[in-house]
Amino acid sequence: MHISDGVLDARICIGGYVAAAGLVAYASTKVKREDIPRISVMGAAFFVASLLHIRIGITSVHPLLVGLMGAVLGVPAVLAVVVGLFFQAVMFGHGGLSTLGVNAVIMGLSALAATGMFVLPARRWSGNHVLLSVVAGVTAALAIFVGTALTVAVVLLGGYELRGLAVYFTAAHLVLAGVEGVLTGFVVRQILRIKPEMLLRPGRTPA
Amino acid sequence: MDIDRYADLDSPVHRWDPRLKLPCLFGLVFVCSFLRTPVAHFLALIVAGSLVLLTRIPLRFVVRVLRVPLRFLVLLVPLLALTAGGPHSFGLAGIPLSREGFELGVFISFKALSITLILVAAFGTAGVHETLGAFEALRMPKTLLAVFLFTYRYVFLYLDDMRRLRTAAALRGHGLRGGRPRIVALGGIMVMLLIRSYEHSERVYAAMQLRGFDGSYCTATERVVNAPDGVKSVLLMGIACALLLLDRS
Repeated sequence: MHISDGVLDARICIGGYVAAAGLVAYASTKVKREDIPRISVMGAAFFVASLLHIRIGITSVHPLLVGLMGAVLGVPAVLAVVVGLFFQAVMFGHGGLSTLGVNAVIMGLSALAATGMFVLPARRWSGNHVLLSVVAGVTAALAIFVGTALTVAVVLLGGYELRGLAVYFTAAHLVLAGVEGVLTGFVVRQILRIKPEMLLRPGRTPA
Repeated sequence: MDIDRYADLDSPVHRWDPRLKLPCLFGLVFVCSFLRTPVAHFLALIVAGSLVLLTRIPLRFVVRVLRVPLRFLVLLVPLLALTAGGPHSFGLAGIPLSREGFELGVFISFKALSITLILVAAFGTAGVHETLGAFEALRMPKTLLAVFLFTYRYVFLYLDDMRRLRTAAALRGHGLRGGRPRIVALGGIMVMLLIRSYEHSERVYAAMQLRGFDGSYCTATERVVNAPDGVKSVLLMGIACALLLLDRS
């Protein structure tokens, strides 16, 4: 879901930075000082995990993991997303510097959508790990759909004639959504077996 | 991936205080995004390339950084020639292409390459800790800055962890043959990485508390903004304004 440099009009890039600042400000209000190591350390782990390739036929994809980040970190996932995108742009040239704000908003909102979709099921079905894993997988796929829709909307509003790019992008991310849904479901199932408190913290489990 | 590998070189860009360098270069990035005419795009690429030449960073490193956007642009230009712009006005091997779409692809490529070169000049000429110190001086929120700092610190640790986990999985025959990982094996690696990081984060917080971490960022590097820094900043902003005026004229 990264939009590269040069694809968007400058006004949208600047607007993206302004919106990202607002999103970061909102996420920061949900962060206590003791959360900072968990957000950062796990954010680094997510960043590294997203570098893995998954082969699909003749091509390969990188998992985005926004759904899983939203489920594990909650609202502060937005901060991990912003930092991850910055390091991806600076260290690997993925995404872009001018489009960092827009990318942060798109992926941040996707992570927030995943958080919103996962919180209630996690409270309600905390004892049923299989069901929760399926919910997590569906949530992750839906988060990719949300991000893809936002990306396509931004690209089409970007001031250039980019319909062909939008179609190609949508097709590629439909495949990614399926892959990421399966991967997230599997990962959540294993985490619930080994370390359930990562996903079912006191704020989420019923008393 | 270590963009600051050549941060120890000596050049006018290296000596430029990051507290002025970063805002000026970000300004130039946005100016590049505003440009619409071919001449302005070309001149912006020349300016960005000249900046990188001034840094004295080895060209093979710069080419390595440019490889990633180039891979995307190599796909983008023909895609736009096929699908964007007006009626198809020329053909290549019997395939109808649009001149407007092709030009759009070339302009986007010029912008993307210019911005990537500016990125090298901005972040390749100072260590990451110095860059983060500049972010603090530029009033980046403390929470976000702390997340930046700790994420950077642990990325390399988890890269090493991931290499070890992949090797261990391959030795156990868990579907990682020939660089074609299966989703289950990958998922297992991710699970181990995430659980380790979760447990690690609890120890990191305890260590931070013991060391009296109060959320503020301290750096040993002390920079003083001097006259050459001011001259470089004014000069670069002047060039950026000239590019904009040329583009609009």
